[in-house]
Amino acid sequence: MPGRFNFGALRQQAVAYLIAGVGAALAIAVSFASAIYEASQPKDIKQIATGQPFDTGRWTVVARRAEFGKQMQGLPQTQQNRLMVELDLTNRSAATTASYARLLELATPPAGLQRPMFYLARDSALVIGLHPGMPERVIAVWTWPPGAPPPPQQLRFKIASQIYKERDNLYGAPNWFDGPVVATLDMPVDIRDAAAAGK
Amino acid sequence: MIRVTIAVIGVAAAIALLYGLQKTQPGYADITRPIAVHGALGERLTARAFELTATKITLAERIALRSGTREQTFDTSGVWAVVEAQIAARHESINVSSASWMGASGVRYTMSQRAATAPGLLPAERLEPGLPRKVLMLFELPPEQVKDATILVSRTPFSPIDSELHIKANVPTPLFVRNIVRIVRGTNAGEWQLEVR
Repeated sequence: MPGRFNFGALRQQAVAYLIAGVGAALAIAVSFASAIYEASQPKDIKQIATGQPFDTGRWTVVARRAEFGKQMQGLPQTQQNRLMVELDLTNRSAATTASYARLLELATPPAGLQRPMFYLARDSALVIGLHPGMPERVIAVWTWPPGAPPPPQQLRFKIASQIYKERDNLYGAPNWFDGPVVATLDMPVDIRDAAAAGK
Repeated sequence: MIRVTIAVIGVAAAIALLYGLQKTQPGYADITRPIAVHGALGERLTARAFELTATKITLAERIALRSGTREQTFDTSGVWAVVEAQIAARHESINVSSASWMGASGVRYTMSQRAATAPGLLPAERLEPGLPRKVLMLFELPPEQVKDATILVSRTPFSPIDSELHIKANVPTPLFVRNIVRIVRGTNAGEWQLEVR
């Protein structure tokens, strides 16, 4: 039969683990607490107006005007009502990119609203990438769900930001990531077609 | 006493060395960066899968595409850089789909896809080994980025550890910007030429 169980050595080992673990436990506690603290701080969201340039990290946005109806000059005609917002976008990053899909969102969208499509006002064709440092007029087009009521005269949009991380959390590679909503924009909507307003 | 001092110095040295290693660690983007092949206009550069010789760069305010009787014009807030090149695959049939214009400040402008129906555009051409083709690359740039630029050509946009051609684009200053460059289809299929006005 082996000797008596050596409680002394076990206690020593436990104490060693405890001392070694204090540092790690402290690091975990501090990072958890700081994450909770940051989440509890309300981020100030700016209120911007049409015609006011606003920097969202990757894009500088200037909202021009909004229109609702079946047809807007230069865009292909459709049978459905569409919400069209004209913007001037400038790419502030260091490479050509097409990641403006989440830039503008309605604050209270009707049920079933899909993501907008973006047209280049110059060509009246879909945008495939905007180049750095070259401002372009772009038209964001939401296809309005068929049964939904038309938008109010003043429509509120949320503007989301994008942040650049030198090293991301997965690969340590540089990349742009979706950030929080940084601004709200109230735009008057020009409702074309009396029929569109009735539907 | 000596042993304790040596131990302390040893630990301090180790900490300093490890700190230095951590601070100078290359990022993921540097480790997986494509391997550059440097050259200039007129030189035949060899990548892993293709060979390219950039022959001419023309700057223009507008690009026009003529198809039949209709003509489509593309204008831009900067300038168009029209790059002509000869390219051939080396071992197998491929498509080379990535070319960008890197300005002097490191900002990259990918090939413009607005004139996507133009004949002879690089991403649309199927390259066969040993059969060189004449191709076009269209870039839209602000005028400040034309000087001291490099054209980067690689087989795909994300090509870690594959080769990438860095072609020094020597555009003479002051910039000579044409009014319009027309891309005209030839009589045979696949033929095209540039009319520069």
